[in-house]
Amino acid sequence: MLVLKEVKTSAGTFRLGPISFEMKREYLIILGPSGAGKSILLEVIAGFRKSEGKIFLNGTEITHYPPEKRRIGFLMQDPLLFPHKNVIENIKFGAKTGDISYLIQKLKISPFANREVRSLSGGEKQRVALARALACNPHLLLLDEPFSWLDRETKEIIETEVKSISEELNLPVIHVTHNFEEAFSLGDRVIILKDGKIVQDGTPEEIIKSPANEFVAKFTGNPNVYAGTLLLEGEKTFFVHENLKFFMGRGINLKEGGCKIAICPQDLIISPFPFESKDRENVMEGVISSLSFMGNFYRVVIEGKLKITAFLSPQEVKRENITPSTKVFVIIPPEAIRVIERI
Amino acid sequence: MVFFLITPVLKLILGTAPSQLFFTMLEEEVLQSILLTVRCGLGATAFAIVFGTPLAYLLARFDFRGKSLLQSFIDLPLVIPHSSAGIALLLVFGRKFFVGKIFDRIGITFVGTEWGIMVAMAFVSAPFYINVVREGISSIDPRLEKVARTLGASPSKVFFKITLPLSWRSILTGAVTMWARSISEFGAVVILAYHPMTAPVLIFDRFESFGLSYAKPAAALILIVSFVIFLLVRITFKNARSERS
Repeated sequence: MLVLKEVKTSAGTFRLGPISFEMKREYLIILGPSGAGKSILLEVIAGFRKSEGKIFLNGTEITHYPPEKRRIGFLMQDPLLFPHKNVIENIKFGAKTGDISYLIQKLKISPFANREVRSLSGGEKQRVALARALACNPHLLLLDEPFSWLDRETKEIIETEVKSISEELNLPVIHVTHNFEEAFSLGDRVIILKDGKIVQDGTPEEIIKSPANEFVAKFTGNPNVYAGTLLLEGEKTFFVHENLKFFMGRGINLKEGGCKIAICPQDLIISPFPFESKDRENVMEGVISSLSFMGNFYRVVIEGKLKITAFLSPQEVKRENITPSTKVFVIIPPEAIRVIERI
Repeated sequence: MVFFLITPVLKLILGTAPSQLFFTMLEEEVLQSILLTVRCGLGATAFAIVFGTPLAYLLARFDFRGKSLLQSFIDLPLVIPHSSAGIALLLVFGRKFFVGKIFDRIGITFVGTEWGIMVAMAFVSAPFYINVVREGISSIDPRLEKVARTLGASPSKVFFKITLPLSWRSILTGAVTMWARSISEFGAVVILAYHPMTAPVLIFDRFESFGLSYAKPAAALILIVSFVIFLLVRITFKNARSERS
């Protein structure tokens, strides 16, 4: 288990921290834009950068341990294989046991095990780099966007293998990325970093449903952030934006006043036909201004009194016969609306 | 430019009769002088490899206060007159200064000995070695060393298993360049150790004492020997490089 307590460091004018979190045997994603301090955080954990605060790994304080004593594997963006050693020699460089056959078989290295590293493809190089890191029997594996430069197919295959191996070996992994789709598909837990500080820590679902602020919402692909006012009418809570009024629920413990809300794009319901909603305030009419296929879902932008984006499955798009420029009705379920900031 | 570089060399070699060259080759004094020069050049280069390589690593990998000043001191022998370098060395390694005294106690003296020749050669030529090796180490991705550390390697293991094997080419180039510069050194050597005579000193001595015609065969022979050794080293280096790639 890794524990960070009030960890702080600096690089030029950039300040990281204070950062505190605990991680168990899980696949943790550190997500953030460029310059958020993700790689610096990994360097601190790996022991390459001095820091204030305390770092514990499996109960032992390792804050002042040099990198070679920490038992932390580190895969950087480039495979960084030793060019004067062949594949096997690279894997055996720091191997704790002589038997590396499990890794060779699991990572499908056998076909090129005796080759010189310069003759390997990008994917093969990263497999070797991964095997080399795992051969040291690390207590924690750090991945600093190691697959970002691979083609999408190879990247997905290797990422799946990493996840599967980490589960088999019961090995905690910290994976740094700026890609929220990658983060949400791989991570058991996601920590979002901005300007050297943690802005949200939760499961992918929690972050999608309840972004901590406008930055998190927009960074994780949710453009539906609106500023307005909370209004209480008896037990009912409403959000008023310009001349629109959305029902948010009954008996919600929220005070009246200015705020920003996020509407989860995955929770919106769209139909070309008017439908009856029990909360009629939350039904909006509009025209589809853009429809883009994002690989495994459609991004649909509807413009009416409010410009709103919905994420729909290909089945939904087909079933509702959704095409650009068509008139549709959008229902915004109250549970899709979250207050993210008070203003 | 090629004409400018080649003509003096060819004029010296072709202007010397083969019989003169042959008889000069048989002269004990000339042979001993060439061997002494080669030996001292190797000694100076070995000294630079042992002590200059860590210094080159330090300069390539670390930023510290006074680094520019240190680099300037290292390069200083390249710009000062070598006779000045010789006098400076004489002041340090002579018996009046504590450094000379310490070595004198363990039986090493520098004035008029092979040790002195080596010191003079090392002082004026080491910058060539240090700069080439520093550049070579700088060109190695430092992240390779970082990765090795995460694989459990101590800094010394990283140096010997990663940095050194990856910089062997620059070490060899630096060593050859330094050795070549060492064997041609005259100014510093002549002040610290006129005797025993290295090849450049011998040529000067003959020129001063007996004139051009007596100095010419020795100069031509030494030039040929240096050229052949240098050529052999370059061919070996080239073969090693092509085998590697």
